[in-house]
Amino acid sequence: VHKAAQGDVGAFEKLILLYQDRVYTHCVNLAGNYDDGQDLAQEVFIRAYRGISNFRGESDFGTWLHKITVNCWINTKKNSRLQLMSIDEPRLGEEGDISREIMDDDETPIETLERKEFNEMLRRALDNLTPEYSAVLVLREMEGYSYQEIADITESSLGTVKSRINRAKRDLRQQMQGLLGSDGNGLPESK
Amino acid sequence: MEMDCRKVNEIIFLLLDEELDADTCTLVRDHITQCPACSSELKACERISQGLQQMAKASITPPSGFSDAVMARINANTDIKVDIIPAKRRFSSWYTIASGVAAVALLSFGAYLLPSGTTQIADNEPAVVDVLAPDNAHDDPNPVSNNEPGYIEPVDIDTNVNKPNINQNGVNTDPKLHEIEPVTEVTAPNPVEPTTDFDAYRALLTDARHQLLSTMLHITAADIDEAENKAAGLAVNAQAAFQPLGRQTDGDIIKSSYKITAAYDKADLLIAQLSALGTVGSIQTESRDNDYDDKLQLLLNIQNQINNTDDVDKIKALEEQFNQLARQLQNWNKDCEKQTIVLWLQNK
Repeated sequence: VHKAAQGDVGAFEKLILLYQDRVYTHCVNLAGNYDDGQDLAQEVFIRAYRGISNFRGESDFGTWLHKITVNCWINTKKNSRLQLMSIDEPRLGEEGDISREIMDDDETPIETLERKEFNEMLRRALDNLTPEYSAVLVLREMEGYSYQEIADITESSLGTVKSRINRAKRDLRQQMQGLLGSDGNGLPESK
Repeated sequence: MEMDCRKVNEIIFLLLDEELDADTCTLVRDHITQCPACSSELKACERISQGLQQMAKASITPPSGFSDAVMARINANTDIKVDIIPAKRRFSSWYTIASGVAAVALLSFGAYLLPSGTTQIADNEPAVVDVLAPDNAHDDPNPVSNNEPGYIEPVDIDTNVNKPNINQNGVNTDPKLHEIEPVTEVTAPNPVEPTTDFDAYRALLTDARHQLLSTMLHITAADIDEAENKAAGLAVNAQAAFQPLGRQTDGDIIKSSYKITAAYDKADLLIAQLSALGTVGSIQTESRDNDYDDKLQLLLNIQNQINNTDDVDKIKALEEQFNQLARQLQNWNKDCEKQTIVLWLQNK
C-alpha cells in the first residue's frame, strides 16, 4: 500500500489482484448482476488509485476500498450512469461464482421455484430502494457486517445506520407486500 | 412501555437483528406471542432477511483480464470503462482488453498540492497519475511503456505486412508484433531542470504551448485487420506510438480501438491519413489547459513573495514550492508537444 501511495503502479496492480475478489463480490451484490458489478468494480479501483495518496492507513485497506465502493455505488446510481440490467437478465451461475444459495435437502422442485421467484422479486425491490438504503442492506444482510462496521464504512453514526437499516427493511417489506398481496400470501415458508 | 402492533412493526427488524435492549426485546416478544398478526409479520420479515442472505455471493472472482482492464484505464487516464471480452471470444493475448467505448486518453497533469498551510491551486480533478508518479515520469519521451498491457510497437505495413519471411524449415521468422523494437520516438524537448532564474521561466512558460489536444476518430472499414495494419504503418511513418486498446466482437460486428500518440506538429497530417482508411463516422478534438494560466500566475506570485522577503527560511520554503510547481508546468508543456489520437475502427 505504501509503495502504491508513492506512485508505484506495479504495487497498485498487486493490490488489485489481492482485493479484486472482495471488491467484485461486493459490487455484484450491490448491482445485482455481473456486468454492472464489473463496471462498478473498475470504477472503484480507478478511484482508489487516484486517491491512494490520501489513504492514511487509519483503517484496513479493504475497509477503505469498501468505503469507496459504497460512495461509488451511491453516486453512480444517483447519476443514473449505471443502467441496471433487466430483472430478466441471468444473474446467477457464471464461472467462478460461489453462491451462498445452498439448496435445502428437503426442498421440493416447486419450493425451489418459489424461492427463486421470491428472491427475484426481492432483488427488484432492493434495486428500487434509494442507493443509501440498498448499500446498508447489502452490507448487513448479504455481507454480514455488524452495525458498527457499517457505521465505519459509511462514515455514519451507529444510530443512523440502525435507523437506515430498519427503514430500508420496512420499505422492502412494503414493496414485497405489494408484489405478494397485502396478507403476504405467497411468501415461502421460512426455513 | 406498552407494546402495540404499530410499535412492534416499527422495530421488528431490529428485533431480528438483535439490536433491541433486553427490556424492549422482552416486551416485543411477549406481544408477538399473543398477537397472530404480528407473529405472521415476524415470519414474513424473517423470510425477507433470509432471502437477502440467500442472494448474496460468498466470493466471486472477476473475469480474467479484469486487472488488465483497470490498469489500461489507469495508464490511459480515462474515465470511460473498458469492457472485458469473455475468454472464449478473445483473439489473442494482446487483445485481452477490449475497449467498449472510445477513450480520449489524456496525458495527465494532475492536481498540484502545495504543503498544508499554503495556497492550493484550484483544480477539480483528482490527484492522478502525475502526482503519484516519480519526478522523472515525464522524462520518457515515449508516452507508452513497452511493458504496458496491450502495447504494440509500430510496424511498417509496406515492408512487413503480407510478406512473411519464411526460413528453410518453413517457419515464419518475422518477429511477432510485440517483439518488434520501437523504431521511432515521439519528439519532445529535453526536460529543463528547475532553477530560480525567474525571467527564464517567465519566457519559457509563457511562450510554450499549453493546450493539450486529444482527438477521437471513428472510422468504419470493411476489413478491420487491413485497416489496423495500415493505421500502424501510418503511425510509424509519423513517428507516433501505436497502442491497441482492445477488440470486441458483437455478432458479426467487430470494433477495435487504438491509442496513437503523435508529435503535435505531425498530428494533423496523421489524422487526415487515418481518415482515409474508411468512412469517417465522427471526428472530435478536445483541448485542455489544466488551468495553466492560474498556475502560472501562482508561480509568479511565489516569485514576488520570494523577492519581497528577507527571511531565509521562508525563501527556502517558497523556492521549494516554486520549483515543484515549475517542474509540473514544464512537464505539462512537454506533454502538450504530443497529441493523443484515439482511433476507433468498426467493420460495419
